[in-house]
Amino acid sequence: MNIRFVILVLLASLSLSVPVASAIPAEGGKAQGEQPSGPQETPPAAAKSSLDDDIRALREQITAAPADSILRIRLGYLLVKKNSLDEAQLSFAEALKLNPRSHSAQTGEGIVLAGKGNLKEAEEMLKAALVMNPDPVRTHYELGMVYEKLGDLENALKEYKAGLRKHEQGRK
Amino acid sequence: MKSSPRYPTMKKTLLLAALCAACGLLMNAAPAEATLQQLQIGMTVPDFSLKQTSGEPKTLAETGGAKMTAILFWSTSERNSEKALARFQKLYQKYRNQGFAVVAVNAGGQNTSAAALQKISATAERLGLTFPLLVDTGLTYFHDVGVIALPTTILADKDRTITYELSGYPLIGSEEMADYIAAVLENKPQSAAVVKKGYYPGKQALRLYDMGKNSLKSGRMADGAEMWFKKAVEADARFVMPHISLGKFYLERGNEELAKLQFQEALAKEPNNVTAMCESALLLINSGKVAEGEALLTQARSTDEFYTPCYYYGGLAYGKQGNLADAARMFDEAEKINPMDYNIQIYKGRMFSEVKNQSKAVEAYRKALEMMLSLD
Repeated sequence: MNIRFVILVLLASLSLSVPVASAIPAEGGKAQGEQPSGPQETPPAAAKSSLDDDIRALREQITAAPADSILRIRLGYLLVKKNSLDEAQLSFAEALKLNPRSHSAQTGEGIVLAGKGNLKEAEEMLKAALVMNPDPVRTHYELGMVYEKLGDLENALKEYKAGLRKHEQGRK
Repeated sequence: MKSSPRYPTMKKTLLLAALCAACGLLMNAAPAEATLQQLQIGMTVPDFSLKQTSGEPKTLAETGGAKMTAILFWSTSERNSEKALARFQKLYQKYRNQGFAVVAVNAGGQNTSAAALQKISATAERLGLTFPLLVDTGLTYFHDVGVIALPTTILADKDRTITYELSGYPLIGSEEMADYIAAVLENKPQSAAVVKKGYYPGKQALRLYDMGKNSLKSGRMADGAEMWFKKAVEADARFVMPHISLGKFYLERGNEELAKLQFQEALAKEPNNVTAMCESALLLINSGKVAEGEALLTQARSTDEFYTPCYYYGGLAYGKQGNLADAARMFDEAEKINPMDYNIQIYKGRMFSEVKNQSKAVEAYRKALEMMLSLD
């Protein structure tokens, strides 16, 4: 039997263990030194009570593992979902203190700034996040939204198309 | 004695013959070939772990039937879903003790709010449904299986092999499906229309095809998918899906010539393959042969009225011709069939870009991303 064929079969079988990514920009790849403390989670269902439960659970986990930037990032995104922008901003800021190169935290910070109406600052933060990691679809989407709110439709279109391309390429 | 007035015998005979021919055509109409994007008859339906409205998780192993399982994808906002649910409740009541199970998977949206759950429960109560109702939050299973239209039904045997699939809930197709269910559960012979519905590819070919799909999913091994799909074709010359997958593989890499050849191969083996027809049509539209592409799409839509790409490709074609009203109609039809298909928004965006309506293009692309990211 062709040895190259056997190797390809083995590699293809190993590739089955790739985890499903979530809508939260995944950490890893170009960002250095980031070690997710647990499996990626999909954002929780929108029912308000389960969102509060998830927030509560994350806060407890953070108390137990205060140096885990990933937990703070997850908390930040849940707080954004709840529209608690100030608390979300604190969470992302704490994540960035622990890991200044976290593109997820930068994206989160960008989302908060946009939500508070600081569009130019949001643009800078999101562009910085893309320099860290050009892949996350969410970052392109959020930057597109900022451009749309600024009335810059050309750049909004560019970012949305970039996000769609990344999604097609299997980037998350 | 006076003779009574009569229709000429020849005219009556011709009318009757025409009626019979029409009925024959309807009963033996070529089956829809594009129910699912990832699977076909003969392949294994993937397992799931989805929650009931009560929050309790269920898997296919726990909900499947000893002889046959019907998985019905539905939505509260889709008009034919209730008809399908009601019909399956009757079938379930009749055959549940003969190894028949029904699982209804609600694919109504990326996020499942409390209001959405309430609507699902209200539907179940109104229709008196007694089979499991699961909620596909995030539409993971929906995308795993590659559902195109809602409702969509998959029938699987005790080994989870797909034996039947139905896109939408057409009048004749749904009756054929009910006949098939009855025939299998009562151990009766199946009708000719049902027997010719699907081709079971060889196991080796299916394994090779799955390797190709897994390579694509893995991202870093994606380029290896081409080899697996080609091997699948070598293993079973009648297997059409590898040609479709190869065609899409080449399209993603910008090789339209190779893509065109693969879709042509698919059509040579299965002239009514609606996916191959629509993809070939899109290639024609992209190369500037818009009218030709639109004609092929019209033919494809008459073969399968529930395959959404035939509509949103049509929207793009009409838009390129400056016919925005018909373009809008095509996109609306696609959304009625599958409101969860973000490709509809992508093609809307493309169409608006073509007609230089930047703000509408931006809106459409944004909606596509929101659907992908579960932000809608």
